Amino acid sequence: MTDEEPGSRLAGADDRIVAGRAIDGDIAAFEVLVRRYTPMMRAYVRRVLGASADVDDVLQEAFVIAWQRLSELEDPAAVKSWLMRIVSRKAMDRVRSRRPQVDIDGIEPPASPDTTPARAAETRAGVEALNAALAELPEAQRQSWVLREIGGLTYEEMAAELAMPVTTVRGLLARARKHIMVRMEEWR
Amino acid sequence: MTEDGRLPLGLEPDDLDGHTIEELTDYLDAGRTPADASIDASPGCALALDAMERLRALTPALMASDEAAEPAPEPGWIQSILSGIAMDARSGRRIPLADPDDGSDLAITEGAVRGLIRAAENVFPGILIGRCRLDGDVTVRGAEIGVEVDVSVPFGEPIVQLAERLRSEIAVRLARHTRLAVTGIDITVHDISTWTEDKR
Amino acid sequence: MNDLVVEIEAAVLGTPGVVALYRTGSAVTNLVGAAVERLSGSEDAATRAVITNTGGTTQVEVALGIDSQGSAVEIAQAVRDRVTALLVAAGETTPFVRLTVVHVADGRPLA
Repeated sequence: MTDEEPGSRLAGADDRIVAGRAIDGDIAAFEVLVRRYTPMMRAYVRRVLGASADVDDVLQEAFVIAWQRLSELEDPAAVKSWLMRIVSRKAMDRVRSRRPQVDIDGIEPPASPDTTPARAAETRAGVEALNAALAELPEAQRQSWVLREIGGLTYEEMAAELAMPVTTVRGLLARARKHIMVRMEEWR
Repeated sequence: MTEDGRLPLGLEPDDLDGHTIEELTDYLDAGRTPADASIDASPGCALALDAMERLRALTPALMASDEAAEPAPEPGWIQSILSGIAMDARSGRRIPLADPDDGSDLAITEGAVRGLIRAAENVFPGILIGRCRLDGDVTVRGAEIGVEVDVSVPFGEPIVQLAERLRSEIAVRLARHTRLAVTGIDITVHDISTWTEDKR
Repeated sequence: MNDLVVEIEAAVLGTPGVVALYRTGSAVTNLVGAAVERLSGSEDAATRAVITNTGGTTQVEVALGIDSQGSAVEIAQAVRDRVTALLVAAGETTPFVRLTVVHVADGRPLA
Protein backbone atom coordinates (compact mmCIF):
# COMPACT_ATOMS: atom_id res chain seq x y z
CA MET A 1 0.00 0.00 0.00
CA THR A 2 1.52 3.30 -1.06
CA ASP A 3 1.77 6.27 1.26
CA GLU A 4 -1.00 8.73 0.61
CA GLU A 5 -1.70 12.21 1.79
CA PRO A 6 -4.96 12.44 3.62
CA GLY A 7 -7.60 13.55 1.15
CA SER A 8 -5.56 12.73 -1.93
CA ARG A 9 -7.70 9.66 -2.48
CA LEU A 10 -10.81 11.80 -2.68
CA ALA A 11 -9.01 14.36 -4.80
CA GLY A 12 -8.31 11.66 -7.37
CA ALA A 13 -11.70 9.97 -7.26
CA ASP A 14 -14.01 10.31 -10.21
CA ASP A 15 -16.85 12.83 -10.40
CA ARG A 16 -19.52 10.31 -9.52
CA ILE A 17 -17.98 9.54 -6.14
CA VAL A 18 -16.92 13.09 -5.33
CA ALA A 19 -20.21 14.68 -6.34
CA GLY A 20 -22.14 11.91 -4.62
CA ARG A 21 -20.46 12.77 -1.36
CA ALA A 22 -20.90 16.49 -1.89
CA ILE A 23 -24.63 15.89 -2.38
CA ASP A 24 -24.50 14.06 0.96
CA GLY A 25 -23.10 17.20 2.57
CA ASP A 26 -19.38 16.43 2.44
CA ILE A 27 -17.65 19.78 2.37
CA ALA A 28 -14.27 18.20 1.57
CA ALA A 29 -15.82 16.67 -1.53
CA PHE A 30 -17.26 20.02 -2.53
CA GLU A 31 -13.81 21.50 -2.12
CA VAL A 32 -12.46 18.86 -4.51
CA LEU A 33 -15.04 19.97 -7.07
CA VAL A 34 -14.08 23.61 -6.58
CA ARG A 35 -10.41 22.79 -7.16
CA ARG A 36 -11.13 20.52 -10.05
CA TYR A 37 -13.36 22.85 -12.03
CA THR A 38 -12.23 26.37 -11.12
CA PRO A 39 -9.64 26.57 -13.95
CA MET A 40 -12.13 25.42 -16.58
CA MET A 41 -14.86 27.71 -15.30
CA ARG A 42 -12.52 30.69 -15.05
CA ALA A 43 -11.35 30.14 -18.62
CA TYR A 44 -14.92 29.88 -19.86
CA VAL A 45 -16.23 32.95 -18.03
CA ARG A 46 -13.26 34.96 -19.19
CA ARG A 47 -14.12 33.99 -22.78
CA VAL A 48 -17.71 35.10 -22.28
CA LEU A 49 -17.13 38.34 -20.39
CA GLY A 50 -13.64 39.41 -21.41
CA ALA A 51 -10.42 39.82 -19.50
CA SER A 52 -11.40 42.85 -17.46
CA ALA A 53 -14.44 41.21 -15.92
CA ASP A 54 -14.73 40.09 -12.32
CA VAL A 55 -14.44 36.46 -13.29
CA ASP A 56 -13.95 35.30 -9.72
CA ASP A 57 -17.08 37.07 -8.52
CA VAL A 58 -19.10 35.16 -11.09
CA LEU A 59 -17.52 31.88 -9.99
CA GLN A 60 -18.12 32.65 -6.34
CA GLU A 61 -21.83 33.21 -6.99
CA ALA A 62 -22.00 30.05 -9.07
CA PHE A 63 -20.40 27.89 -6.38
CA VAL A 64 -22.71 29.25 -3.69
CA ILE A 65 -25.69 28.31 -5.84
CA ALA A 66 -24.16 24.94 -6.68
CA TRP A 67 -23.82 24.12 -2.98
CA GLN A 68 -27.39 25.16 -2.28
CA ARG A 69 -28.76 23.17 -5.17
CA LEU A 70 -26.68 20.01 -4.97
CA SER A 71 -29.70 18.02 -3.85
CA GLU A 72 -31.21 18.73 -7.30
CA LEU A 73 -28.33 17.03 -9.09
CA GLU A 74 -29.75 13.64 -9.93
CA ASP A 75 -26.76 12.18 -11.69
CA PRO A 76 -23.56 12.88 -9.75
CA ALA A 77 -21.50 11.84 -12.76
CA ALA A 78 -22.93 14.82 -14.68
CA VAL A 79 -21.66 17.40 -12.19
CA LYS A 80 -19.27 18.99 -14.68
CA SER A 81 -21.94 20.01 -17.18
CA TRP A 82 -24.22 20.93 -14.28
CA LEU A 83 -21.61 23.37 -12.95
CA MET A 84 -21.11 24.80 -16.44
CA ARG A 85 -24.83 25.52 -16.75
CA ILE A 86 -24.89 27.30 -13.42
CA VAL A 87 -21.89 29.46 -14.22
CA SER A 88 -23.31 30.14 -17.68
CA ARG A 89 -26.43 31.62 -16.09
CA LYS A 90 -24.38 33.78 -13.78
CA ALA A 91 -22.25 34.97 -16.71
CA MET A 92 -25.36 35.72 -18.76
CA ASP A 93 -26.79 37.72 -15.85
CA ARG A 94 -23.73 39.94 -16.18
CA VAL A 95 -24.06 40.18 -19.96
CA ARG A 96 -27.70 41.13 -19.70
CA SER A 97 -27.15 43.73 -17.03
CA ARG A 98 -24.31 45.35 -18.90
CA ARG A 99 -25.98 45.72 -22.24
CA PRO A 100 -29.70 46.42 -22.57
CA GLN A 101 -29.62 46.54 -26.37
CA VAL A 102 -27.86 44.12 -28.63
CA ASP A 103 -26.33 45.26 -31.87
CA ILE A 104 -26.24 42.24 -34.15
CA ASP A 105 -23.87 43.66 -36.71
CA GLY A 106 -21.54 45.03 -34.11
CA ILE A 107 -20.88 48.66 -34.80
CA GLU A 108 -18.87 48.63 -31.61
CA PRO A 109 -15.23 47.60 -31.92
CA PRO A 110 -14.19 44.04 -31.11
CA ALA A 111 -12.84 43.22 -27.68
CA SER A 112 -9.13 43.80 -27.22
CA PRO A 113 -6.98 40.98 -28.62
CA ASP A 114 -5.62 40.29 -25.18
CA THR A 115 -8.77 38.56 -23.98
CA THR A 116 -7.18 35.28 -23.01
CA PRO A 117 -4.32 34.20 -20.77
CA ALA A 118 -0.89 33.62 -22.26
CA ARG A 119 -0.76 30.39 -24.12
CA ALA A 120 1.88 27.66 -24.09
CA ALA A 121 4.20 27.80 -27.09
CA GLU A 122 3.25 24.39 -28.36
CA THR A 123 -0.42 25.22 -28.93
CA ARG A 124 -1.80 23.84 -32.13
CA ALA A 125 -1.87 26.37 -34.96
CA GLY A 126 -5.59 25.76 -35.45
CA VAL A 127 -6.33 26.74 -31.88
CA GLU A 128 -4.30 29.91 -32.30
CA ALA A 129 -6.23 30.73 -35.47
CA LEU A 130 -9.55 30.15 -33.74
CA ASN A 131 -8.47 32.29 -30.83
CA ALA A 132 -7.49 35.11 -33.19
CA ALA A 133 -10.73 34.86 -35.16
CA LEU A 134 -12.77 35.05 -31.94
CA ALA A 135 -10.85 38.12 -30.87
CA GLU A 136 -11.95 39.89 -34.04
CA LEU A 137 -15.64 39.42 -33.36
CA PRO A 138 -17.87 42.13 -31.92
CA GLU A 139 -18.60 41.34 -28.29
CA ALA A 140 -22.20 40.15 -28.67
CA GLN A 141 -21.28 37.74 -31.46
CA ARG A 142 -18.30 36.39 -29.55
CA GLN A 143 -20.36 35.89 -26.39
CA SER A 144 -23.09 34.07 -28.26
CA TRP A 145 -20.59 31.77 -29.90
CA VAL A 146 -18.88 30.93 -26.62
CA LEU A 147 -22.15 30.34 -24.79
CA ARG A 148 -23.39 28.06 -27.55
CA GLU A 149 -20.27 26.19 -28.68
CA ILE A 150 -18.49 25.92 -25.35
CA GLY A 151 -21.30 26.35 -22.85
CA GLY A 152 -23.62 24.12 -24.83
CA LEU A 153 -26.66 26.28 -24.18
CA THR A 154 -29.71 26.01 -26.42
CA TYR A 155 -30.97 28.94 -28.45
CA GLU A 156 -34.01 29.14 -26.22
CA GLU A 157 -31.92 29.22 -23.04
CA MET A 158 -29.76 31.97 -24.42
CA ALA A 159 -32.76 33.96 -25.62
CA ALA A 160 -34.42 33.70 -22.20
CA GLU A 161 -31.34 34.52 -20.15
CA LEU A 162 -30.15 37.34 -22.38
CA ALA A 163 -33.67 38.80 -22.82
CA MET A 164 -33.58 38.76 -26.61
CA PRO A 165 -35.61 36.97 -29.30
CA VAL A 166 -34.40 33.60 -30.52
CA THR A 167 -34.06 35.12 -34.00
CA THR A 168 -31.52 37.59 -32.62
CA VAL A 169 -29.54 34.76 -31.01
CA ARG A 170 -29.53 32.86 -34.28
CA GLY A 171 -28.52 35.96 -36.16
CA LEU A 172 -25.57 36.61 -33.85
CA LEU A 173 -24.44 33.02 -34.11
CA ALA A 174 -24.73 32.91 -37.90
CA ARG A 175 -22.55 36.00 -38.25
CA ALA A 176 -20.03 34.73 -35.73
CA ARG A 177 -19.77 31.35 -37.43
CA LYS A 178 -19.37 32.82 -40.88
CA HIS A 179 -16.59 35.12 -39.81
CA ILE A 180 -14.71 32.40 -37.94
CA MET A 181 -15.05 29.86 -40.73
CA VAL A 182 -13.88 32.27 -43.39
CA ARG A 183 -10.86 33.24 -41.31
CA MET A 184 -10.07 29.62 -40.46
CA GLU A 185 -10.09 28.73 -44.14
CA GLU A 186 -7.75 31.57 -44.93
CA TRP A 187 -5.30 30.30 -42.37
CA ARG A 188 -5.42 26.70 -43.47
CA MET B 1 -8.52 32.44 -55.02
CA THR B 2 -6.19 31.56 -52.18
CA GLU B 3 -2.49 31.03 -52.85
CA ASP B 4 -2.84 27.36 -53.59
CA GLY B 5 -5.74 27.95 -55.99
CA ARG B 6 -8.58 27.00 -53.69
CA LEU B 7 -11.81 28.92 -53.95
CA PRO B 8 -12.55 31.08 -50.94
CA LEU B 9 -15.14 29.53 -48.69
CA GLY B 10 -18.56 30.74 -49.76
CA LEU B 11 -21.11 30.93 -47.00
CA GLU B 12 -23.98 32.88 -48.51
CA PRO B 13 -27.09 31.18 -49.90
CA ASP B 14 -25.78 31.71 -53.44
CA ASP B 15 -22.80 29.54 -52.59
CA LEU B 16 -24.89 26.99 -50.79
CA ASP B 17 -27.49 26.25 -53.46
CA GLY B 18 -30.05 28.28 -51.62
CA HIS B 19 -29.33 26.98 -48.14
CA THR B 20 -28.21 29.13 -45.24
CA ILE B 21 -25.50 28.69 -42.65
CA GLU B 22 -28.22 28.44 -40.02
CA GLU B 23 -29.82 25.53 -41.84
CA LEU B 24 -26.51 23.76 -42.16
CA THR B 25 -25.75 24.30 -38.48
CA ASP B 26 -29.08 22.81 -37.51
CA TYR B 27 -28.43 19.91 -39.91
CA LEU B 28 -25.06 19.25 -38.34
CA ASP B 29 -26.52 19.51 -34.84
CA ALA B 30 -29.09 16.90 -35.81
CA GLY B 31 -26.36 14.53 -36.99
CA ARG B 32 -27.37 15.02 -40.64
CA THR B 33 -30.55 13.09 -40.00
CA PRO B 34 -33.09 12.84 -41.38
CA ALA B 35 -31.03 13.02 -44.56
CA ASP B 36 -31.69 16.09 -46.70
CA ALA B 37 -31.08 15.21 -50.33
CA SER B 38 -30.74 18.82 -51.39
CA ILE B 39 -28.02 19.59 -48.85
CA ASP B 40 -26.23 16.29 -49.38
CA ALA B 41 -26.07 16.86 -53.14
CA SER B 42 -24.67 20.38 -52.91
CA PRO B 43 -20.86 20.79 -53.24
CA GLY B 44 -21.04 24.23 -51.65
CA CYS B 45 -22.85 22.78 -48.65
CA ALA B 46 -20.34 19.96 -48.41
CA LEU B 47 -17.49 22.46 -48.21
CA ALA B 48 -19.29 24.51 -45.60
CA LEU B 49 -20.21 21.47 -43.52
CA ASP B 50 -16.61 20.26 -43.62
CA ALA B 51 -15.46 23.65 -42.40
CA MET B 52 -18.02 23.57 -39.61
CA GLU B 53 -16.91 20.14 -38.51
CA ARG B 54 -13.29 21.20 -38.45
CA LEU B 55 -14.27 24.14 -36.30
CA ARG B 56 -16.29 21.95 -33.98
CA ALA B 57 -13.33 19.62 -33.59
CA LEU B 58 -11.09 22.52 -32.61
CA THR B 59 -13.38 23.93 -29.95
CA PRO B 60 -12.54 21.41 -27.20
CA ALA B 61 -8.87 21.98 -27.97
CA LEU B 62 -9.38 25.70 -27.48
CA MET B 63 -10.99 25.14 -24.10
CA ALA B 64 -8.33 22.66 -23.06
CA SER B 65 -5.66 25.14 -23.97
CA ASP B 66 -7.43 27.94 -22.09
CA GLU B 67 -7.84 25.71 -19.06
CA ALA B 68 -4.21 24.62 -19.11
CA ALA B 69 -3.17 28.27 -19.13
CA GLU B 70 -5.10 28.95 -15.94
CA PRO B 71 -3.16 28.67 -12.68
CA ALA B 72 -4.32 26.19 -10.05
CA PRO B 73 -6.78 27.78 -7.63
CA GLU B 74 -5.03 29.56 -4.77
CA PRO B 75 -5.66 28.48 -1.17
CA GLY B 76 -7.13 31.90 -0.45
CA TRP B 77 -9.62 31.43 -3.29
CA ILE B 78 -10.68 28.02 -1.98
CA GLN B 79 -11.18 29.44 1.51
CA SER B 80 -13.21 32.38 0.27
CA ILE B 81 -15.54 30.01 -1.56
CA LEU B 82 -15.96 27.73 1.43
CA SER B 83 -16.55 30.54 3.87
CA GLY B 84 -19.09 32.07 1.51
CA ILE B 85 -21.26 29.01 1.85
CA ALA B 86 -24.01 28.92 4.40
CA MET B 87 -22.97 25.54 5.68
CA ASP B 88 -25.87 24.85 7.94
CA ALA B 89 -28.41 25.51 5.20
CA ARG B 90 -27.99 22.03 3.78
CA SER B 91 -26.67 20.16 6.70
CA GLY B 92 -29.63 18.00 7.62
CA ARG B 93 -31.20 17.76 11.03
CA ARG B 94 -29.93 19.57 14.09
CA ILE B 95 -28.71 17.06 16.65
CA PRO B 96 -28.80 18.39 20.23
CA LEU B 97 -25.51 18.46 22.10
CA ALA B 98 -27.15 19.14 25.45
CA ASP B 99 -30.66 19.37 26.82
CA PRO B 100 -32.12 22.71 25.73
CA ASP B 101 -32.58 25.25 28.49
CA ASP B 102 -33.69 28.83 28.89
CA GLY B 103 -30.36 30.23 27.83
CA SER B 104 -29.15 28.13 24.96
CA ASP B 105 -29.74 25.64 22.18
CA LEU B 106 -26.57 23.79 21.30
CA ALA B 107 -26.51 21.37 18.40
CA ILE B 108 -24.39 19.71 15.78
CA THR B 109 -25.67 19.14 12.27
CA GLU B 110 -26.23 15.78 10.69
CA GLY B 111 -23.93 16.97 7.93
CA ALA B 112 -21.12 17.61 10.40
CA VAL B 113 -21.60 14.16 11.92
CA ARG B 114 -21.56 12.51 8.50
CA GLY B 115 -18.37 14.42 7.74
CA LEU B 116 -16.89 13.15 10.97
CA ILE B 117 -17.76 9.57 10.05
CA ARG B 118 -16.41 9.95 6.53
CA ALA B 119 -13.15 11.39 7.78
CA ALA B 120 -12.51 8.09 9.60
CA GLU B 121 -11.32 6.78 6.25
CA ASN B 122 -8.16 8.86 6.62
CA VAL B 123 -7.07 6.34 9.20
CA PHE B 124 -7.32 3.42 6.77
CA PRO B 125 -5.30 3.66 3.59
CA GLY B 126 -7.14 2.96 0.38
CA ILE B 127 -10.74 2.91 1.60
CA LEU B 128 -13.34 5.42 0.58
CA ILE B 129 -16.45 5.99 2.65
CA GLY B 130 -19.51 6.73 0.56
CA ARG B 131 -22.96 7.47 1.84
CA CYS B 132 -23.64 7.69 5.57
CA ARG B 133 -27.05 7.49 7.13
CA LEU B 134 -28.24 8.15 10.66
CA ASP B 135 -31.47 6.22 11.20
CA GLY B 136 -33.86 7.31 13.89
CA ASP B 137 -34.98 10.64 15.25
CA VAL B 138 -31.66 12.29 15.93
CA THR B 139 -33.35 15.47 17.09
CA VAL B 140 -34.63 13.72 20.23
CA ARG B 141 -32.05 13.28 22.96
CA GLY B 142 -31.63 9.65 23.93
CA ALA B 143 -33.47 8.23 20.94
CA GLU B 144 -31.92 5.04 19.62
CA ILE B 145 -29.92 5.70 16.50
CA GLY B 146 -28.58 3.25 13.94
CA VAL B 147 -25.67 4.21 11.74
CA GLU B 148 -25.23 2.83 8.23
CA VAL B 149 -22.03 3.36 6.32
CA ASP B 150 -21.11 2.36 2.78
CA VAL B 151 -17.46 1.66 2.18
CA SER B 152 -15.41 0.81 -0.84
CA VAL B 153 -12.32 -1.21 -0.05
CA PRO B 154 -9.19 -1.98 -2.06
CA PHE B 155 -8.87 -5.43 -3.50
CA GLY B 156 -7.01 -7.78 -1.22
CA GLU B 157 -7.76 -6.07 2.08
CA PRO B 158 -9.21 -8.40 4.73
CA ILE B 159 -12.71 -7.01 4.90
CA VAL B 160 -13.91 -8.30 8.24
CA GLN B 161 -11.00 -6.95 10.26
CA LEU B 162 -11.11 -3.65 8.40
CA ALA B 163 -14.82 -3.29 9.10
CA GLU B 164 -14.24 -3.98 12.80
CA ARG B 165 -11.53 -1.37 13.11
CA LEU B 166 -13.57 1.13 11.13
CA ARG B 167 -16.60 0.51 13.30
CA SER B 168 -14.51 1.13 16.39
CA GLU B 169 -13.08 4.38 14.98
CA ILE B 170 -16.54 5.64 14.04
CA ALA B 171 -17.91 4.75 17.49
CA VAL B 172 -15.20 6.77 19.22
CA ARG B 173 -15.84 9.78 17.00
CA LEU B 174 -19.57 9.69 17.65
CA ALA B 175 -19.06 9.35 21.38
CA ARG B 176 -16.67 12.29 21.45
CA HIS B 177 -18.76 14.72 19.46
CA THR B 178 -22.36 13.74 20.05
CA ARG B 179 -24.71 12.52 22.72
CA LEU B 180 -26.39 10.08 20.34
CA ALA B 181 -27.49 6.72 21.75
CA VAL B 182 -25.94 4.64 18.97
CA THR B 183 -27.36 1.13 18.94
CA GLY B 184 -25.39 -0.19 16.01
CA ILE B 185 -22.99 0.72 13.24
CA ASP B 186 -23.69 -1.22 10.05
CA ILE B 187 -20.81 -1.24 7.63
CA THR B 188 -21.57 -2.37 4.11
CA VAL B 189 -18.77 -3.03 1.69
CA HIS B 190 -20.40 -1.98 -1.54
CA ASP B 191 -17.74 -2.30 -4.15
CA ILE B 192 -14.04 -2.71 -4.50
CA SER B 193 -12.37 0.62 -5.12
CA THR B 194 -10.82 1.00 -8.54
CA TRP B 195 -9.34 4.39 -7.92
CA THR B 196 -5.97 4.62 -9.59
CA GLU B 197 -3.28 7.23 -10.19
CA ASP B 198 -4.41 7.92 -13.73
CA LYS B 199 -7.72 9.37 -12.64
CA ARG B 200 -6.14 12.68 -11.65
CA MET C 1 -24.46 46.99 18.75
CA ASN C 2 -21.83 46.48 16.08
CA ASP C 3 -19.11 46.59 18.74
CA LEU C 4 -20.87 43.77 20.54
CA VAL C 5 -20.91 41.66 17.38
CA VAL C 6 -17.17 42.19 16.98
CA GLU C 7 -16.56 41.24 20.62
CA ILE C 8 -18.71 38.17 20.32
CA GLU C 9 -17.03 37.01 17.12
CA ALA C 10 -13.62 37.48 18.72
CA ALA C 11 -14.66 35.57 21.84
CA VAL C 12 -16.06 32.70 19.80
CA LEU C 13 -12.98 32.40 17.59
CA GLY C 14 -10.78 32.64 20.69
CA THR C 15 -12.43 29.66 22.37
CA PRO C 16 -10.06 26.67 22.32
CA GLY C 17 -11.18 24.13 19.76
CA VAL C 18 -13.03 26.60 17.53
CA VAL C 19 -11.40 26.84 14.11
CA ALA C 20 -13.99 28.70 12.07
CA LEU C 21 -17.06 30.85 12.30
CA TYR C 22 -19.39 30.48 9.31
CA ARG C 23 -22.19 32.49 7.83
CA THR C 24 -25.40 31.03 9.14
CA GLY C 25 -27.98 29.88 6.66
CA SER C 26 -30.99 30.47 8.86
CA ALA C 27 -31.04 34.19 8.21
CA VAL C 28 -33.07 36.67 10.12
CA THR C 29 -35.82 36.45 7.54
CA ASN C 30 -36.44 32.80 8.51
CA LEU C 31 -37.84 33.77 11.89
CA VAL C 32 -41.47 33.40 10.96
CA GLY C 33 -44.09 35.30 12.88
CA ALA C 34 -41.72 37.17 15.11
CA ALA C 35 -41.28 40.90 15.20
CA VAL C 36 -37.62 40.92 14.51
CA GLU C 37 -35.28 43.81 14.86
CA ARG C 38 -31.97 43.06 13.26
CA LEU C 39 -29.36 44.64 15.43
CA SER C 40 -26.16 43.29 14.00
CA GLY C 41 -24.06 43.67 10.93
CA SER C 42 -25.02 44.62 7.43
CA GLU C 43 -26.98 42.85 4.74
CA ASP C 44 -23.96 41.52 2.95
CA ALA C 45 -21.95 38.38 3.51
CA ALA C 46 -19.57 39.83 6.07
CA THR C 47 -21.75 39.12 9.07
CA ARG C 48 -21.11 35.87 10.87
CA ALA C 49 -22.58 36.18 14.37
CA VAL C 50 -26.21 37.16 14.02
CA ILE C 51 -27.85 39.04 16.88
CA THR C 52 -31.60 39.45 16.94
CA ASN C 53 -34.00 40.85 19.46
CA THR C 54 -37.33 39.07 19.67
CA GLY C 55 -39.82 40.21 22.24
CA GLY C 56 -37.16 41.27 24.70
CA THR C 57 -34.88 38.25 24.33
CA THR C 58 -31.56 38.92 22.71
CA GLN C 59 -30.40 35.91 20.73
CA VAL C 60 -26.99 35.30 19.31
CA GLU C 61 -26.75 32.75 16.56
CA VAL C 62 -23.48 31.23 15.40
CA ALA C 63 -22.38 28.39 13.14
CA LEU C 64 -19.02 26.88 14.08
CA GLY C 65 -16.27 24.76 12.71
CA ILE C 66 -14.37 22.90 15.42
CA ASP C 67 -11.25 20.80 15.77
CA SER C 68 -11.84 17.05 15.90
CA GLN C 69 -9.41 16.67 18.77
CA GLY C 70 -11.76 18.41 21.17
CA SER C 71 -15.30 17.48 22.10
CA ALA C 72 -18.17 19.19 20.33
CA VAL C 73 -20.21 19.11 23.54
CA GLU C 74 -17.54 20.77 25.67
CA ILE C 75 -16.54 23.32 23.03
CA ALA C 76 -20.18 24.29 22.47
CA GLN C 77 -20.68 24.79 26.19
CA ALA C 78 -17.53 26.87 26.46
CA VAL C 79 -18.62 29.13 23.61
CA ARG C 80 -22.07 29.49 25.09
CA ASP C 81 -20.65 30.51 28.45
CA ARG C 82 -18.37 33.13 26.89
CA VAL C 83 -21.08 34.65 24.73
CA THR C 84 -23.61 34.66 27.56
CA ALA C 85 -21.11 36.47 29.78
CA LEU C 86 -20.60 39.13 27.10
CA LEU C 87 -24.32 39.64 26.64
CA VAL C 88 -24.90 39.95 30.38
CA ALA C 89 -22.01 42.41 30.67
CA ALA C 90 -23.64 44.46 27.89
CA GLY C 91 -26.79 44.68 29.93
CA GLU C 92 -28.90 42.01 28.24
CA THR C 93 -31.12 40.41 30.86
CA THR C 94 -32.46 37.51 28.79
CA PRO C 95 -29.63 36.31 26.59
CA PHE C 96 -30.01 33.24 24.38
CA VAL C 97 -27.35 31.45 22.42
CA ARG C 98 -28.29 29.31 19.43
CA LEU C 99 -25.18 27.46 18.39
CA THR C 100 -24.72 24.91 15.63
CA VAL C 101 -21.57 22.97 14.94
CA VAL C 102 -21.54 22.62 11.16
CA HIS C 103 -18.09 21.23 10.53
CA VAL C 104 -15.60 19.10 12.43
CA ALA C 105 -12.14 19.61 10.97
CA ASP C 106 -10.45 16.27 10.93
CA GLY C 107 -7.02 15.64 12.28
CA ARG C 108 -5.74 12.35 13.48
CA PRO C 109 -7.25 8.99 14.49
CA LEU C 110 -9.18 8.98 17.73
CA ALA C 111 -9.51 5.21 18.30
